[in-house]
Amino acid sequence: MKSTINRDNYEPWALDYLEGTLSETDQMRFESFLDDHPDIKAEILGMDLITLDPPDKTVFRHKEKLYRRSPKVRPLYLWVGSIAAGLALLIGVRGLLNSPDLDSKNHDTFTEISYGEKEITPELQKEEIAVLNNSDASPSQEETKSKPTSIIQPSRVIVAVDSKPEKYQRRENTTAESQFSFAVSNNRDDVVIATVDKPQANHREMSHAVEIVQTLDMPMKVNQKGKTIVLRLSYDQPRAIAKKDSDSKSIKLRDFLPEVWETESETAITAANLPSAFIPDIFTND
Amino acid sequence: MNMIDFNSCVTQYSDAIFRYVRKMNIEEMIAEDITQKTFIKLWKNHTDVDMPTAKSWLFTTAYRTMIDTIRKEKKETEKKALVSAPTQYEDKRLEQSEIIELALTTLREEERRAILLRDYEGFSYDEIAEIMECTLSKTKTLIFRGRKKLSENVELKTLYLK
Repeated sequence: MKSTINRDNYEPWALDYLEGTLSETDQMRFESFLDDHPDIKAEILGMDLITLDPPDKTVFRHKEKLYRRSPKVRPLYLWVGSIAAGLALLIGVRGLLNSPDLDSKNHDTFTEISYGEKEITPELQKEEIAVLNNSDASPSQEETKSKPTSIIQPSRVIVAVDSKPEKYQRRENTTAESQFSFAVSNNRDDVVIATVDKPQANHREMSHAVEIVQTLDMPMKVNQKGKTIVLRLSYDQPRAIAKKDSDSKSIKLRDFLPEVWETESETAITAANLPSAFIPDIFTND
Repeated sequence: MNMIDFNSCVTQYSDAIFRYVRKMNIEEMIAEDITQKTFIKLWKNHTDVDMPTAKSWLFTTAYRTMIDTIRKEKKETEKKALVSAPTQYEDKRLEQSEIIELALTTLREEERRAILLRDYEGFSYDEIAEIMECTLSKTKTLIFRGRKKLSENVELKTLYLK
C-alpha cells in the first residue's frame, strides 16, 4: 500500500495490521499514523479480532431435487426404425390381403404423428394400426385416435411446493406451469410435476403432499408432443389447469385422504396407508 | 460445465449456499426456495460457467436472487415480514458462540455478508470483492467495521451477563 494513510482510508490498513499481513515498511507507516491519532490507536488496540466459529451442520434438505440426470430416452434412430419396420410390415400384409393401398389422407395422418423420443408401447402400436386400417373413420375420429398416449415410468418426481397464494407463485415463477416449462425446456420429459397450491398450507400439509407424490410409483403420461402432463394436488378445491396442459389432472387430496389430512398427527403418509384406489384414480379417469 | 460438474457443485455447495442465505436472516422455506432458484440459474448458464469460478458465481447469484425475492415480496405484501426475527436467546444460557451469533445479527447487511464469506467460506478478500462487486478497499473496510462491531457487542454482552 503506497497511498497516504488518513482518517478516511485507515480501515483497510487497520484490518491488515490486526491480521499481521502488512509489510514491515507499511507496518511502521501505520504505527506512525496511530501515534498521530491516539483515538484511533485506542480503538484498534482495544479491539478483539473476533472471527465466527465454523458453520453449523445445517444442510439443504432438497439436494436430491437439484441433481441432473440423463433422461431415459430411446435413441431417435431406434423408434424411427421401429416405425419404418412396422409400416413396411403393414404394407406387406395389406398387399397380401389385396387391400387397397393406403390413401394419401391416411398417409398424411400417419406422418403427422409425432412421438418425440418416447418408448412406443405395444398398445400404442395397436392403436396406430387401428387408425391406419379404419378407412371409414371420420376426420375427427382419426384426429382423436392419432393422438395416442404412451406410458412410461418416471425416474424422478419434481414437486413444486409453494405455500404462498397462487398470485405470488406466478410472480416468482414457482407455479406448476413455470416448473413445467422449465422441465420441458430442459428436456426433462421423465418427470411428473405436482404442486400444492392451497393458500396458507402449512408445512406439515405440504410435507404430507410431497410424501404422497414421492411415494407413488405412478405412471406418467406423455402426450403426442412429448410433453409431461402436470398433476396438480390441491387440498380442498380443484384448481384450474392451463389450457395447454389439457391432459393434466387436478386432484383434491381431501377426497382421498380425509382421515389423514384432518388429523394433527405427524404420522407420515406411506404407500402402506394410502387407499388402494388412490393411485389408479389419478390416471384412469380419462 | 457439464452435468457431472453441475452435480458436483450441488454436492459441494448447496449446503453452504443455504446456510449463507439463512444467515442473512431469511426464513427457512424462503432460503430453500432461493437455494433452488440459484442452482436452476446455474444450470441455465452452465455452458458459460466453469468449475473454478462456480463457487463465487453461486454466492453472487444467491445474493442477487435473495434481493430479487425480497423486493418482490415487499411489493406484494408490505406488511408481511419476510425476514425472520432474530433468534431469541435467553441471556443466562448464552455461551460465547451464541453471543457472537447474536452480535452478528446487529451488523449491517453488507458487513455481515462480507464476514460470512470470509469466515464460513474462506474466500480471499479479492474473491469477496468480486462476489460483492465492490473494490478491495471497500471489502476490507466492511470487514473491519463488522469485526469492530462484533468486538464491541460481544464485550458489552459479556459484561452484561457478568
